[in-house]
Amino acid sequence: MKITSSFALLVSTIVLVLGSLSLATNSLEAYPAPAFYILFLALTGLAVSKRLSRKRIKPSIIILAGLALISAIVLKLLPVYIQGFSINGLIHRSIISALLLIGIGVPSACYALYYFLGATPRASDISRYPLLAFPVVLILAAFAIIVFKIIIAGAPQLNWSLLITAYKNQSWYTEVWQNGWPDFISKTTLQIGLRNAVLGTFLLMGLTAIISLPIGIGVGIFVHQYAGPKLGVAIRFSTTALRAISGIILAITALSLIHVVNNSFHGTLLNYLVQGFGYYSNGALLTGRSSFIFAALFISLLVIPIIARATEEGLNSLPKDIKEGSLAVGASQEHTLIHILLPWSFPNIITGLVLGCAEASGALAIIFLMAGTGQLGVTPLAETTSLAYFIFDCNFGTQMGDSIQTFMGSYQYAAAFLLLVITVGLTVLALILKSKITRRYKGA
Amino acid sequence: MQKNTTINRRNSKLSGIKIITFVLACIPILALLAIIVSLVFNSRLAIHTAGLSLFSTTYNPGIGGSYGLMPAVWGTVLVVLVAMIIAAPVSLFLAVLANDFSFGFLGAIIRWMIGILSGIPPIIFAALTPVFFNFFIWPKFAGKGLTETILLKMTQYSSLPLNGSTLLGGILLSLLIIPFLTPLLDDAIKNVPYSLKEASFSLGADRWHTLVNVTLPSAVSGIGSALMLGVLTAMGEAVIVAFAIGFAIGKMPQPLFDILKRTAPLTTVIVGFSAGGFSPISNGALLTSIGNFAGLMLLLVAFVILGVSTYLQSRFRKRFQL
Repeated sequence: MKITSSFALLVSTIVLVLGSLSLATNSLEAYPAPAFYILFLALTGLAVSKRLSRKRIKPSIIILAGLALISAIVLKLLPVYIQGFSINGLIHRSIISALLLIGIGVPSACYALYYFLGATPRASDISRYPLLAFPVVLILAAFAIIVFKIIIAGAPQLNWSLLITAYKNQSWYTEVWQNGWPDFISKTTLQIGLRNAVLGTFLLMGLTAIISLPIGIGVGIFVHQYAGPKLGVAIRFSTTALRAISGIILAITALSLIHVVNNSFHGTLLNYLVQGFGYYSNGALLTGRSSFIFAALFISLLVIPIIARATEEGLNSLPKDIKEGSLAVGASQEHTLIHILLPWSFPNIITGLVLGCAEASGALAIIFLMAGTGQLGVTPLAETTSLAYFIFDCNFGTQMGDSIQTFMGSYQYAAAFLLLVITVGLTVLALILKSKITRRYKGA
Repeated sequence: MQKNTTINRRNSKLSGIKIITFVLACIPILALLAIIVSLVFNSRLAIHTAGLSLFSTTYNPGIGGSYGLMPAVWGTVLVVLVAMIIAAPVSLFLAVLANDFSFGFLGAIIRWMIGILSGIPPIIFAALTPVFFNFFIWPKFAGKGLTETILLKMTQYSSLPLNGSTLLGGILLSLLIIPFLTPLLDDAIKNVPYSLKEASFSLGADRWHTLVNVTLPSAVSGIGSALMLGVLTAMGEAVIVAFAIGFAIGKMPQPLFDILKRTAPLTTVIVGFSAGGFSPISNGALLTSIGNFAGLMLLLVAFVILGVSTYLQSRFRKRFQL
């Protein structure tokens, strides 16, 4: 009795596996058409056996069987490479067969599972799982490829000397007196390393945290405690908007600001503060493109909303009875705020801060127009650099006129691995904190 | 909540904390205003010089030329469409699997996994552009394995998607959006009151029928709001599209839906214009100004989408008294 439905289930599973493999490789060209023929037979057999035992069958199964037959014929007729409609590409047959296999395989798997489990209402629920789970599995495979590739390519490159050496590629002339005549000797230093990028990432995170923590907490407290409805809506909208508008808009605003400072205040203290400075190997004072503090100011515009929202959530989550208890024994609003509300929302604030740090370490859209190779050192007033920018530089360095791509382009996966470890580690920490928060006292 | 704030406001006098937090709370508003002012101020030159030609479809710089930004706008539309077509159903399925179709620890596992994946910064996806190209685009769309003599006979040989395409950008972008979108959709589905579903179950509907006919229609404004935010994120992303598509503004793709061509979206075009070659000074004043104008356009669209999303969200919350 179950033979036909289990055969259909088996065949549709094979069809789905074949479809996912066809997305990845071109060499399975011989199999989709036979698979469709067998699927047609399996579905027809299922329908006929159900009909013989005088049970109702869904008409969609007949339609699916027909579609399987049609696609088998279509795949037989298709040339290997398809070209046309003046599309810029040679579309390989396997992408079409993969789409057909998945598109027909998923519903057939659903129906086969339905009849395999006895066509009950519970079976109808369970039979939806292939439809829900298959796309999810495909996308998770893509994520797995990403993480796997980063680990495989990045982790073996890491070693201690790479981590403690700063990248440096500088050349200059020194003046030497010989026989009463000045002579210029060219000198170069070339060091390969990630130290400044790693330290820069942490410095950027720290500066962003220092700037955005008080502001974020202040915004959260004001919105919760003092803001009227209209002002509250305005502040909430502006914080949401700062996160939602593209980072690139913040970046060009920062660029305009740098431009103004560079033109109007050239050579002044403000110029050095905004652009950052450091000493070259020959002792010359150089300005960079933007300093760590300036970059952190703009990144903190992205982090303030996270911390503000976390603070507000924490303040809102205080059970009413605790707050009313404090007010009932005579504490003022301010006293309650400082001694009851803020300590209560401390874990939320820390969670927001950790998430903000993860954001700051990976933030690139803001700084990739104003960061540098980090040869001017890592101090709050030096030129911005970070791991994220290093990876960007490894791909576009030549266009930007530095030689990091030539010398360190192969180390981008090591940097990506470090960055992945930092951001994912911080995110996991935030998730653990969050799960602790949800288990707190929620009020009587 | 509402009553609470009025009591607070009545009781609080003008205290130090209030003043300090008010000053701090003004910072985001002022920053947003400063950004808008800067964009408007810097795009005067573009509006004055290029005028209405900014909205044409041809980009042809020079004296008396036209600086049409429509190819970039169309590029944004294409890449967002590709990303959302992949990301929206997958995120919805993930949210459904975590809620109505969950069993055992499945919901908790999905939430943790998505939480961890949401920590991956865009540059990681962008750095793997070559991997996805070699793995997917080259074999499927650019004739990997064909010899040059065969390729030269093909009419489109000169424009094979060999160094990036909108499709590649859209696929990588969808990987970025899915961890962002899933928690929002999860919230929208989770917040549908259980009594509604219970009523459906009591009438004999199974879980799938309840999901399709009760849960999703009730959550539709929440889902719409979440999808809008997803579109906004995809629109504003610059790093992945920079790696996968490029910076140069070109012609409109022919035919219009050709996602195998490189049609740079607005964000990277802004980078190309205002930072040409990434150095803040080297590009001309006019191009920088056009970059600012494109930024202003992006900002206005973002505000419209954000407004619609907020409206849908408030409708959702009002409906279920959240």
